[in-house]
Amino acid sequence: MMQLIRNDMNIPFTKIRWIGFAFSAVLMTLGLYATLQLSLGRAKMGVEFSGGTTVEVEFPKAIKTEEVRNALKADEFQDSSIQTIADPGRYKFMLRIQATSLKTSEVSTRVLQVLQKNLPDNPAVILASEDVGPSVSAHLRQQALFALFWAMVGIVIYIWWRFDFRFSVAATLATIHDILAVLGIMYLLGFEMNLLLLTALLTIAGYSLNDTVVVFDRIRENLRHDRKAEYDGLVNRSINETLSRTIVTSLATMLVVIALLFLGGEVIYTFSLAMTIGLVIGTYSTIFVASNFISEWNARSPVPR
Amino acid sequence: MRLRQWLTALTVVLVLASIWVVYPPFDVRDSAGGLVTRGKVNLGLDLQGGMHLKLEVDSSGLPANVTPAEARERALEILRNRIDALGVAEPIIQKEGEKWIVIQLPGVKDPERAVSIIGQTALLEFKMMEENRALTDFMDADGNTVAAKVPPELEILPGKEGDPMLLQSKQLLTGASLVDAKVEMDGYGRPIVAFKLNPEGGKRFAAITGANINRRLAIILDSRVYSAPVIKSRIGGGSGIIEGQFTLQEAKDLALVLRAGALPAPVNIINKYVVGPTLGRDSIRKGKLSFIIGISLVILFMIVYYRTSGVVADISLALNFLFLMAALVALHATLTMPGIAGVILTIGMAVDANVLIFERIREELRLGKTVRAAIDAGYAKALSSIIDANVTTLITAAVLFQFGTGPIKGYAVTLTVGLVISMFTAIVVSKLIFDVRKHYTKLSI
Repeated sequence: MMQLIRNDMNIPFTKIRWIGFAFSAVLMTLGLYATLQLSLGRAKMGVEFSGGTTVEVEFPKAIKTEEVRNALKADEFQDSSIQTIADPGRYKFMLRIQATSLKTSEVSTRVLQVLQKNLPDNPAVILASEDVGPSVSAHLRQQALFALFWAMVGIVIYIWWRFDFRFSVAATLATIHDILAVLGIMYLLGFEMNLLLLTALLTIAGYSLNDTVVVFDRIRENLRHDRKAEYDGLVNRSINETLSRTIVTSLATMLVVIALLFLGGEVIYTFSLAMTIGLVIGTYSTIFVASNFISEWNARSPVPR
Repeated sequence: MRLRQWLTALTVVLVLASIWVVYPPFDVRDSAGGLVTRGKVNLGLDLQGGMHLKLEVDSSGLPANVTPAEARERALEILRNRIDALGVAEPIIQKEGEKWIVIQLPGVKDPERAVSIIGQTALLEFKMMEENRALTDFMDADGNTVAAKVPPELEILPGKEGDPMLLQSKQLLTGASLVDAKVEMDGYGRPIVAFKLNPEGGKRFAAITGANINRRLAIILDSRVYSAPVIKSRIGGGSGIIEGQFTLQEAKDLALVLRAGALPAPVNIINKYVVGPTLGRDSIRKGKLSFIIGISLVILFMIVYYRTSGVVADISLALNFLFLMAALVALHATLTMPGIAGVILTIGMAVDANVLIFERIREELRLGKTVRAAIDAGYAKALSSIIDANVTTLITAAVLFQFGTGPIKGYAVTLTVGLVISMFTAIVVSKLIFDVRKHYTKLSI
């Protein structure tokens, strides 16, 4: 029998919980900072949320970012951000155009015209483009907040129905912790907030919660069977008993997410990266945050059993 | 016992039905690249290329007796006519929210042409030119028009080249009276648009032309004077022509929008999303590759870790995928790039149910239970955890579905359907396989 985690494994997770709490405090601070920046409009947002135009172009021949920038500057696009897209042997760029006086639907068309006019020897091709008017982006921002809100409400209702008060608080906190941590890390890495990142955040919320629920199920089961056991020891035993499952499942999901990350291409790169980080954070929070929070609470005010 | 036979029969039927429903999943092409059979899976705009437009009907200038809702309804109908004439396979044209119209044109070849056909109001008007007064009367020293000087019975509109023209404001006839428009060639082989009016419009046209012989009639499209020919004689029969130095394509498109009718109000394109065919093909290729590699890794991992039991889990995984694709076809769902990510993610998550069960079986075996008892206990005890674990993800998937724009909706659908199916395959199908043997002395797990 192959085992990643030996069945007599007993790591004193509850004893070393302060390390986890400290680390999580850092992660959550980072996440809260990113949230603050987002709500103040200082963090980068995707066109779908901020309005504007992105154009993904490919050139048949090698070309430097500076040449693309100069070609755009030669006409009306003074202010644009240009990113290369990593794809060996191909010359792809993601262009982000700031507000112009053109009509919403005309910007991407004009960008291509300008590039073809100013770089006639290396005619650009549009891979994809998106023009988003202000009314659409305002609507999507509002919808994104609704989605986050309702996902959290749904999750909280489910947890509170399934568990008692303390477990519910712990699971809710762990979920918020995971979302904030991934958001914070993605912010630190310089990624913009877009629809796919939001999708990843919501998926992570659901997924990491399922890890937590499995451990909580085990704690409850052990509490029922063993009424005399010392609380911390029992929580710690439950974490260790489910550790193998937690790691194996995360590993299996990690395999496919890593495949997506490296082979899935630029369209879903942000999503794959956020999912990868989210899986690690989710597994970590299941082991180090959610259950230990229960222990800590019990140490401060024991539950009568 | 009876239940097990029923479930076995159900599984076999589902497998056969799924294969029948889903085959062939993608387009089958011969060696020359020609289409042999169309794939059953409906590919999203981001995978096959195409254009997504969101329009807002500008209701600011509507007459008092038309509500914005009516204007949108009418606009929807006219846009449908225009797009039908454009000849795009399986377009989607629908309302969204209070005042928006969403148009999806999968595989559209020339997005710019589609935009110009969809976006123009195409209001055709006939007015008389004002020849008794000079344009300069209404201009300042620099040659700019001074709006305050223009009396209400007159107006100044740009010509086809942008040069100002002086007209009488009175609208004599509009494109609403038009029954047909088509491209013809004039005496010099230049394309012109010939139109035909309905009987009532024809009578009015005859009266107008009869009363204004030797004066100029302006033909105006979307507030631009296309031509202003001198009326030589009364025109009966209700037909006429529009000339304006068109290219053949322009003339064809003009005839098309005139036939489809004018929009009741101008529309603004507030969101345009175009995916070229190259990116779509790239995405499909990369989606397939990451799918194959990801799944292979999971399959291998399960076999290495759980041996024979891992094979059982892999079989249920394969069925999960088959059922998922069949469900997508049956539900007419659209596979998008995030949708492919959803499929791949589902496969990773679907293993979870089997992992929960197998870890339980291992625990029960360690407690000294017989293999048979351990298997049964493993399935029974893992059930509540499995359901819990899936419900949490399903909640967020449901929210995403509600929220979803096209690609994200595709993701929510594949994730939801995949997880529901995974509960069936991981719990029921794998148990059926374990139950093929009644007595176990050893279990490879």
